[in-house]
Amino acid sequence: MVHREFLLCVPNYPGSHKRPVQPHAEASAAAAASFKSPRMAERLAGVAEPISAANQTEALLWPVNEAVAAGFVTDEVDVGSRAMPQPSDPDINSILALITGSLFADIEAKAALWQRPRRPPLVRRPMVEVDQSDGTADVARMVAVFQLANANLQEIWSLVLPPNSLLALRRCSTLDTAAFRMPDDLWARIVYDFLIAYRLRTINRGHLLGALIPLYLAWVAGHINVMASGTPAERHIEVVAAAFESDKPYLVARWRWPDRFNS
Amino acid sequence: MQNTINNSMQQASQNITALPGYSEDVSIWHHMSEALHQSLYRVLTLLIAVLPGILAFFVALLVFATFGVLISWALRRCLSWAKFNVRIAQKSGTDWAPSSSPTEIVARASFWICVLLGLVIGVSAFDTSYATGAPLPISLLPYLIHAVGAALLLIAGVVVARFLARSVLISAVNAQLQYARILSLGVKWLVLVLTAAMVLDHLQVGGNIVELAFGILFGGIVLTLALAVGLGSRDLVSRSLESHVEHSGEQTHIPDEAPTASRQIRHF
Repeated sequence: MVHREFLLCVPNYPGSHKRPVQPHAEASAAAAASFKSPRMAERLAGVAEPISAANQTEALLWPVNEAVAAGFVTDEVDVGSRAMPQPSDPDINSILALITGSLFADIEAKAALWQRPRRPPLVRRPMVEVDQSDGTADVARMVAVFQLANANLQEIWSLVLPPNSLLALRRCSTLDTAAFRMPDDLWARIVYDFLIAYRLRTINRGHLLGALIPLYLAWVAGHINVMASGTPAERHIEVVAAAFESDKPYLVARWRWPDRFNS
Repeated sequence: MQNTINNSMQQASQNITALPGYSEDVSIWHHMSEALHQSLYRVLTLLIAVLPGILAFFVALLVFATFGVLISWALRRCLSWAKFNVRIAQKSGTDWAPSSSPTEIVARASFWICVLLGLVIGVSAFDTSYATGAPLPISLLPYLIHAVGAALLLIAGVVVARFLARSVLISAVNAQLQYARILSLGVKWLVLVLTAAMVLDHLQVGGNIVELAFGILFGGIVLTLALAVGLGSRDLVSRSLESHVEHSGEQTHIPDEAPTASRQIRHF
């Protein structure tokens, strides 16, 4: 598994040092402590303490969100490729459920923050493309999983997604493997609808995260096909991020007035 | 003159009653009317004995439901004034939806507790009035309690069945099993059949027939599944055992005087 690590940096504080940060409670606190930034270290340690005390092992993505919430200046710097060791139990379903659950729980906890008006995003430096592995062999399997889920999970998806999203998913299920792609705005809308369902506890949260996995695999299959067509991966991710940003008013409206959409 | 008329009428009636067919018809009709009157009287008596109990039941339920509405309204106002939702959100770190906020949950719980209390008191009042007023020494309360317990059991069974069916469906789909829906339906109906057997047993309906039928059905299903798993995974088990034996053979030191001819281990 090759990935790019990002850094948290505090350029305003003298003597700040750039180090990679791992998304783990103790590791992040230790890494932040290696920064010459006591403010960041204290902040992360203060947040990590109740997490560790509550034995919330599923909390993984909170350091970055905490840095943004605290108003620290964050930036992404390429430190090169690195091959991470594979987990002992590479069950993609449990890993995805864990990461998604952590993300949704953190979004729910910081709802008051992300609903505020935001500053315009900083100008991003162009990233160096990393050689991606050939995922063509996995696309067929991912599409097959999505098509199987589309045939069997309609009842569960209908509790979470609106009819137009379900119709769009049915259209996607008819595409063949080579031309398979999930529209970016559809993916953003699906994530937001699942986030709302997570908050409202429409169905059991474990079931909700399990039902999201085939949709995520469908998006990944489309992403691989987009890269295979020549589009750089980072450019496609920026397009997806723009789709999330443009659809954010829908999320805010449903978050604040959930009953209005159910009447 | 009048005496003569009366005497003639009495003589005429005596002559009529003296006829055998006519006297039997009158006595049969008289008996039938008496029997109908008596049965009607018993029904009316029973109804009069039961009506106060029914009235007491509805009055108790209505009174406690009204109490529940008042208590839930008061709790909602007090907890909103005390910012109960905000305190809980700060403590737990989660944001609550308006329809499922802690205040709303507490208010609804208090209302339904009052309704349940009214139901219990109403049933006990009905049972008391029915047992004392009716000629039959039968109490309705134990059977009603069994019925309520059976209803709760049925609701719990349906909820568990739906939860398990959904869990199996999602897991099977993510595991790319083509028969995910069949597996989910099978699990759901297994739990529902178990629930139905428990409910009938709780209501003491059917007796041994229900127990035997359920035992045969459930045992047959479990035996079928065991055979399917055992026969279907025979090759897998043999391969795993052979690989385990090979691995343990590599770790142990085989003496040099061992014969060079390899021995093939067969387990089946």
